[in-house]
Amino acid sequence: MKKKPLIIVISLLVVILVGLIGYNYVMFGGARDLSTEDANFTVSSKSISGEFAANIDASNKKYLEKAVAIKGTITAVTASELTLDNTIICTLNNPNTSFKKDQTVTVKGRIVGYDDLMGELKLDQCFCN
Amino acid sequence: MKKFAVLTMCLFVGSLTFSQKMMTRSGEIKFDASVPNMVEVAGINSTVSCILDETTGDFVALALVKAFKFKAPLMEEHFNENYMESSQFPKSTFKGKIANFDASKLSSSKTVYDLEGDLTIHGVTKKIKTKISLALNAGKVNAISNFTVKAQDYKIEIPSLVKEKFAENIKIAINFVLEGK
Repeated sequence: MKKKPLIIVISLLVVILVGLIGYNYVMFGGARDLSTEDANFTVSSKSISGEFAANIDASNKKYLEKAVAIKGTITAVTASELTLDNTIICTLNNPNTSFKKDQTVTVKGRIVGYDDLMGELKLDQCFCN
Repeated sequence: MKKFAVLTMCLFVGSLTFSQKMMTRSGEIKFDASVPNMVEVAGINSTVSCILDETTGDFVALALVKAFKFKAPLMEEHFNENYMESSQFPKSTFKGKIANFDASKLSSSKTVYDLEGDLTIHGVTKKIKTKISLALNAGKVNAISNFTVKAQDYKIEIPSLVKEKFAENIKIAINFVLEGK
């Protein structure tokens, strides 16, 4: 008859554990990690900004949310943001100060959308391999 | 030679007074649809573009919906997929005018103006009227405005099952630091 309390304690622990994992998943889980994904498209900065400037709706359908690798020249740089060829704004995943102006890089990131006020394409979660 | 100097001076001063576009591409919009004692429903977008025309008071802003960040990634996913349908409607915009705007009267103390215009969210455009406070700080204009919107006005459907977790009036707070180009 001494087994009963043990079973109760174990089942309680299991319930708490499942609850914790569930809570953790709901609160912090489900984030996307681009570094584990292959790029859906590999393009040059000129070709992708040309595509968006020509037809926003079609380009949105094609590119939004996708992981894209873009090759271009850095025209402006801050710790958290790279600008490629004046028209592509890449927000970096982790702040990085090693980039320099006029450097040619291939940036991988998620397409957030086209800002037609500024005529700029925006990406986030960006990094360079 | 003197004439030339005067002429270039005039041109220079002219271009100064005519370079009237103040802008930012890192403006901040916070929204909060939390109900007291419930899960926090709030997101922040810090890559908002905004242009203020200092001669006319025209004020336009654009926020990409997918750039809103949440504490919980799952909430961000639901925000994009179930409520804002951001693949279909990737941007929210505001096009309006600051009433009685006069750039020469900008000062370091906050001045409150009326702001009126069209707010487009989720593909639905509504006229809104609110207040905006402007303050000049080291050549930059700090624009702050707070207003509320209703989800149903913009055809954003909230299932009745979770309705009690969302505030009916969603608080929106904008904070832009506009710089001359």
